This record gives sequence, structure tokens and C-alpha cells, in this order.
Amino acid sequence: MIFSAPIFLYLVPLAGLPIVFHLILKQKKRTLVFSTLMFFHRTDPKLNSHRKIRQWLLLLMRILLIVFILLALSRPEFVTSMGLGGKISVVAIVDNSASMSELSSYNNDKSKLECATEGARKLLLALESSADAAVVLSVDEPAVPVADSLTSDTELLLDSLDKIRPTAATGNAGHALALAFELLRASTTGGGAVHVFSDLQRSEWGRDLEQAKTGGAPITIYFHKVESETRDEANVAIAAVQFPEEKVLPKHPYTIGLVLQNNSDIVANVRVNSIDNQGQRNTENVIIERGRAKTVEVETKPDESGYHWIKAWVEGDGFSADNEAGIGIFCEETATVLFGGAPEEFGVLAVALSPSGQGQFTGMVVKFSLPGQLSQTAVREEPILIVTTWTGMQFALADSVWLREYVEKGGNLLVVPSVRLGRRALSGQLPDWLGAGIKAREVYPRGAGLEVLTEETTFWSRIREATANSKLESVIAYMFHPLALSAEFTPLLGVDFQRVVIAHKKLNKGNIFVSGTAFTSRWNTLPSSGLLVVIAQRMAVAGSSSEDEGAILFVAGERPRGIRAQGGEVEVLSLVGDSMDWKGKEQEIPAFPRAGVYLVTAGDKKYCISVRASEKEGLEEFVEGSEIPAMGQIAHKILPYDESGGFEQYHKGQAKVVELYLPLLLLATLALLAEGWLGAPRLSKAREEMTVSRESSVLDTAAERRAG
Amino acid sequence: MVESTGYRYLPPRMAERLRGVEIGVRRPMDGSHQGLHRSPAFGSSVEFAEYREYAPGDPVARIDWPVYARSDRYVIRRFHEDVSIRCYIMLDISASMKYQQDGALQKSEYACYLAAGMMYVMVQQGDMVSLITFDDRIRQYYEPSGTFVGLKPMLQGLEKIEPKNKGNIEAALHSAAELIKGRALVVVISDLLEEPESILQGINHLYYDGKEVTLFHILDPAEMNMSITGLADVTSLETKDKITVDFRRIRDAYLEQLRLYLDELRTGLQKTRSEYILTETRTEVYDAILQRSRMV
Repeated sequence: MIFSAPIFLYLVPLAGLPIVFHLILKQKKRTLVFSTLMFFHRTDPKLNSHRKIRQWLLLLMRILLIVFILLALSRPEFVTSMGLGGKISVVAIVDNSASMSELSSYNNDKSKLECATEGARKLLLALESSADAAVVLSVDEPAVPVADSLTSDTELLLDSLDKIRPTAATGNAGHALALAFELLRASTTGGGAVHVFSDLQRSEWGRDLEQAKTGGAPITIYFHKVESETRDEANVAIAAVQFPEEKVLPKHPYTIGLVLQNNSDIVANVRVNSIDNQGQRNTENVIIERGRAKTVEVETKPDESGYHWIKAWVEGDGFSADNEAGIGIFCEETATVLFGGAPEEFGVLAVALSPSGQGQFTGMVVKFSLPGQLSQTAVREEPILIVTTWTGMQFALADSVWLREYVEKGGNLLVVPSVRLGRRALSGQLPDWLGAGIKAREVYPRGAGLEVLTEETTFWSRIREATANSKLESVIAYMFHPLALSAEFTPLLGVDFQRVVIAHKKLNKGNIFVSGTAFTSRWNTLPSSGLLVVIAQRMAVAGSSSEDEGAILFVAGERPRGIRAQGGEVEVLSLVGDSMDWKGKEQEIPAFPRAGVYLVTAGDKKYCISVRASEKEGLEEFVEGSEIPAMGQIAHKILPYDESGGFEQYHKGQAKVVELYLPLLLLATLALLAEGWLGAPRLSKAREEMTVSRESSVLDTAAERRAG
Repeated sequence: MVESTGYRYLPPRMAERLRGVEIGVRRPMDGSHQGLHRSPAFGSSVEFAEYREYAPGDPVARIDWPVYARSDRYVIRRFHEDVSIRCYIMLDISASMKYQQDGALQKSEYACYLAAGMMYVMVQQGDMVSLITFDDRIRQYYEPSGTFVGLKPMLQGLEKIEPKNKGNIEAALHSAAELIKGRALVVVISDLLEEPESILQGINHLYYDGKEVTLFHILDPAEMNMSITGLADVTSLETKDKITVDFRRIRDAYLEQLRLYLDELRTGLQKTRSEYILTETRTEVYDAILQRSRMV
């Protein structure tokens, strides 16, 4: 027997009220003498005690009336045998999403997940040995094998439950239900019961669950809702990880943005920690207004090329399961910046890019090539940036197609005026795809202030981060060629928008930077301000790394997509976070339930997977009421979690649930009718009429006798 | 004439009204004096009884000579003998007779009035009367007397009656049958609240012993129509047993049982040709006696 609204059962003691009223209002008896008891003894014994019996019957009917009504309101269900040999098939779905790691209100010493696994354990232990069962998780757990059929091996299932650990993921409830239905449909009974142990968080159970189809199979679904302990602290989650669109080079600082979201109605004061694989630690205290987000930067400086990781986490809030993120990055080899021309044509630009020339400080080395040999040298050196002069672009016209392909594949191109360039504008032809040219040089002996144009660009934001917003407004140009730009260009620096000095445009995966000023102190104050170093290096590392195709970032619980092993084996290795050492086919790659960085080798290709905790799991939004709207037409029952409730009741039979609501209402009606019949005054009246009639006959007879 | 004004149960007004009332009997009675009632013996009354063949020893004067003249046979004409009878008033003094609910008197008081009235009527018409009180056995017996003087101790005895014991009518009637010799009128005044079968056993004993029995069945109106209502712990006056009774609920069943009881009693009494008068304590005593008077 299962009660959907057991609160009414607590009112059952009210059924004793008629007894109380009976005792209080009990009719007082008097004492009298009578000549003989002979006639009373001669009457039918029932008549002597009739009143008493009637009273007790009335009392019983009233008690039954209350009991039946309360039982009906508690919506009991009787689970009858399915008629398939009495075999029982059960699937226990354990919600192991991150929200379940919070303390339960059922037992303050246990998390909701511990309650759920304990409930599932008791459910399985209550099964007969012949019963078939399976355990399904809402978040795939590599340590717990995915059930492909029901089993009667309870020990195996209990062992699976033991392996369930808290995750940082949002569960896929629809997938878990669909798997449970599929298992039951494929079972020998063709149906059965699904028991879901969950907190019914809306992020999982508020979405469309109708993808799970019972297929007409007799399946009964019970949700054992584990209530959450009320949280009185703020909750901050890592809602996103922002990777800058630039290449990671050895010794080159790389700053990653962590977007922190305060999901609560309380101002959060938390500490953000990070550590990378080189042991570099960062800690920052952050105050976030309620409901707001804030971006915190985490910097790393890889010493050498290869895969690196950063682990970031938040401390000091009320819910920790959504506080962690793993960040994987690939650091390239020391990169080459290829200059097309003589060193003296580029001023201090080469030094700004590689002060030592060997890449010790910036991860870049500079090399020079004749403009006519630029393509050959570039094929050999695979530079990340090609710097050439406007004149050099004219010389390289023959290699224009190659240069365009270089940029489109992700290379960066910087075109600057040669220090030796004259006053006039270029007379020769430039490639059309470049989309820019220079006008006649303008000279300002006293200098013209250069301003940041189009401030809200990634270029400038990165530079502001690097320079802490200093010196951007104190650059003065003494001479420059105003740029003639196509509409695709974004002006970055100039006197005004008519006299743009530096501009940028993207060409497919690569970037084209054009400058109207040379980088010497004769032309402007950039070399002396130090800003040149930042600008030049930003230009060099702009764009994605060649390994970025293998960088995958997702939220815990998701299954990685796009990994192609070409028929080979896939191997997963944990760099940081949840320990994992997995090998298998590409279609069987497990979901990653916890935050961390994982290196996946699929054939000859490698993927670096960064996993962060799901920011939805900290939301205190749960399905309330007796139904889950997202279940649509799928019949189900929500029951309050009670591990002491005895799960045997669910196994006495299954699949065919008989609601006792109407029968109990019918019984209550019958009790009411019986009570009305027993208590109806017309009965007494009829008896009295009958008695009067008989009395008359007695007296008449007596009168007749007297008369005779 | 008895000094009626001095007796509680025979007030002057009642005695005055009873004057002239006669109580008859159906069966021939034994009697030693000339009276109103037929004797089983032949005597010297004017009422012709039968002819009998003359037998040696019969007085010659009794031969009916006209018959001899017509038939040449010696026959003797015989006549009924009218005698005064003995009447035994058996008064029930068991505890149940103390009951009074709706009636004007206790049943025992009413019975005493009735007994006194009957005794007065019997003496007045020249018969002898005796008073016997009983409950579970005969308690007091007064020798029959045919005078008002002889009636005096009985009337005084009535005033001393105190019903208190359990009754046993059958046993008392058996005792009375042994006590009363010859043919006599036995008037039983009782509430008869015992099983009809046992009562009839006693009545039969009297009847087959040659007695003529008259029963005055005294009941309180409340016993007749069960006017009591409500729930009560009822105590029996005789046995002191208790029972909880809801009178309203049990009334029809009670009356049904009363009807069966009375029917059974009447049917049994018809077999012994006994006179049965059922009377409530609110009926006038005179009327009850008059009712008996009119029966025979």
C-alpha cells in the first residue's frame, strides 16, 4: 500500500472523536424498581441490549466514516501483481548530479546522495532473489558500468551503489528514464517499476522528459523526493571559462577569465583560488552582488611547450559542488616572427617582440628574410607573425596568394612603414585581399596625440589587462601615414577616425594588422613608453593555436563530441581532477562527471578536455507538488523520501496500480448511509407506532375480558 | 353488621355499595348450612332434581304416589340441596405486590381492598369466608367464619400485611389445596407475576380437588402499558436482580411478551373453568367485584 498524500494519515486519530463525544454525551441512567424482570428476560435478548448494540454500531459507522474519508484523502494505492509469473523487475535511478551532494533535510548528517543511495540499497535489499533489477545514474559515472540488461545479482548492484560518488554535473534525467524504460521493456516481464531517488531539481527534472517513452509497457514510476536542507549562505558558481583568442607561448603570460555567477539573494564574499601544473598559485578575494556575475582573471606562464592545466576553485560559499573548473591549455613551441626586409627598416619592433632574440622572455625568436624570399623562409620557419613593410608587400605581390593562404590558415600579418619610407604615399599596387593602404605622410614636429579608437575590442582589452590601463593616452606621433582602410578594418589607434594609424582585420582564422607609423622614437613615442612591446606581442600571438581544434571545454556531465579516432582506440588520461584511466571505442567515451582536465588520445590526434562544474546545480529550484510537469502524459507518483518506509510494499506486485481512492469514498458513503439509517428517528417512530398498536390490542383484549 | 367504619380496607362507602352484591359459583359446593348455593347432595329445597327407584329403607313419605298411580312403580322424588359455602380468599403478599407506578394504590393495598370487599360480600350473602395470605408459602390462615364478628380479625389482619418476600404461587396453591377440605370457592388475589405454567399447576390442583377458583389478577397500569420511558437500571422488587433497560426501545417487546403471558394464562384457566378477572389498580374495587358477581 502506497500513500501519495500521507499527511492525512496523521489525522486518523481524529477517528477517535466519536468515541470521545460518546463518552462525554453518554445518556445518564436512572435507577428504578419494577415488580418483576420476567418480561424483560422473556424478551429477545437482542432487544434488551438493542440500544447498546445500536449505539456501538452508530459509533463504529462514524469512526469508519472518518477513517475512510481520511484514507481516501491520503490517496492510497494498492499495487497488484502484474500477472507475469509474479516476477518483479525494478530499475533504481539514482540522481548523482551535483545538487545531490548538499545536505538533506531528511537526515542532517547525510547528503542527499547518501540518502538516495541508501534508499536504492534498501529497495534492492527488499527484492526477492528471483527479482531482476538495475541501477541507472542520471550522470554517467565511469566507475559504475552502464546496465545493458536487468540482473538478479543483487550483490553486483549493491557494489555499483557503493561506487557512486558526488559529481559536479547536471544529470540527464530524460536519458536515465529512457534507459530505465528500455531495460524494463527488454526484461522478461516486459515492464516493472522505476524508482527515482532524487531532489527533483528543476535543472534536470524541469526539462522535457517526454523523450523517454514507456512504449505502452506496464511501467510504474515512483519518485522518492529527497528534500534539501535550507541554505542560508550565498552560492557562487564558475559559470564560464573565457580563453583569450591568442596563442600560448613558453614564458609568455596567458590570462584566462573565470566568470563567477552569484546565484543567490545574498551578497557573496568568496575567495577564488587557482593552481597550475607548475605549482603557481593565485588567490583573490571577490565580492559579488546578488544575482550578478563577475570575471576573475587567472594567469599562468607555461615554462615549456606541451599540455598544461590550471585548477580553479571558489571557497567560502554555501554550495561547493559547482565551485570547481579544470582548464587545459596547450603551449606551443618557441615561435618565430619572420620579418620580410632588413632589420633597420623595422626600428625597435624586433626587439620588442624578442628582447633577447632567443625567445627566453617572450617565447618568440625573430628572423629576417628578403621580401622576395619570404614565402620560402616562411614555409621552413612556420612563423606566427610575418612582419613586412608596405614596400615589401609590393615586392611580395608575386607571393600574394601564398601570403593570403598563410593568414587564412591562422597566421598573423603586420604591415608597417619602413623607417626609410619617404613622404609620399605608395605608388605601387598592393594585394586586394589586404584591403588597406597608406596615404601621404603627415609630420607633426610637436607631435600629435594618438587615441585609442574603437576601445571595446578584444585587442585593446587584452592590452589594458597587460598594462593595467596605463600610458594608453600618452602616445604621441611625430609622423605617420594615415591609413586608407576598407570597411573590414577596425581602427585601433589614430589621431581620429580620419587619420587612423593602426588598424586590424580578421581574414578567416588569421589577423592582419596594418600600421601607418614605424616603430622608432623618431616617428612616435611608442618605443619609449613600453606600450610597443605589449602591442607587438599581442599582434604576434593573436589568433588561435594550431592545437586549439583539440581543445574542448564543456560542463561536467556532458559527453565530449567531435573526437574522431578513425577506428582506433581512444585513451583518456586525467591531468588534474577526477582520476581517470580509460581506454575504449570512440562511441563509448564516458561522460566526465567531475571538474578536471583530461587528455584524450584518439589515434594520432590528441584532445585536451577542460571540464567545469555545472553552474545550474546550485540553484535552489525544485519540482514541487505531486506531479512533474515535464513528464507530460507519463503517469508517475512523487513520494517523500523515507528510507524507513519499507520498500517491500513496492515489490508485492508491480506495474498494475489500483487506486483505492474511489473504493474508499464508496465505503465512506456506505458508512454514512448506515449511520443515517441507524440513527434515523423514523425507526424509533415506527417502533413506537407498532407498540401503541400492540398496546391497544392488549388493552382491548383486557377490556373485552372485563366486558365478558 | 360489621363495624365497617373501623377498618382501613372496608370503608363505609364501599360496604354500602357492596350491599346486595352476590357472588355465585358454578360447581356444587359443600356446606353444612342452608344457603344460596347448590350442594352436590340432595336435600330439601324446592328445586326438583330427579326420580330414583324406591329402595328398602327409604322413608315411605318420600314415595311419589301420583307416579305410582300412573306407572305402578315406587319412585322417590329427590330435590337439590342449597347450602352456604366456604370461600377462601388467598391474598398474595409477595414483594412484587408492593409495586406502584401509575396506579392510585400499591397492588397490595388494592388487593387488600378487594379481599375485604369479597369477604364482606360473602359473609353478607350467608357464606363462610376465610383469609389466607401467602408469598412463597402460606403465611397466615384464618378459620372460615360466616359472621361479621368472625370477619373482624381478618380485616384487622389485612391492615398488618407487609409484602416483603419472594413469591411462589404454585407452592402456595398446592399448600392451599391440601389445607382446604371439600368443595369450596377459592379466590386468588395476586399479580400472578410468575410463569403461567407453574401458576396453572397450582390452579389445576385446586380444580381437581373440587374447588372452584376465581382469580383476581392485579396489575399496575404501568405494567399493563409500559408507560415508563428512558434508560434505567431496573431492580426487581422480589429477587433484587438488576438489569439495564431502555424502556422506549423495549416497550413493544415487553407488551408482546405480556400479551403472550396473558393469553397463556387465560387459555389455561379456561380448562379449569376458573373465573379470571384482570384488573388494574386504578379500576374501582367495586367494579372488579361486580365483574365477578356478573360472571356467575
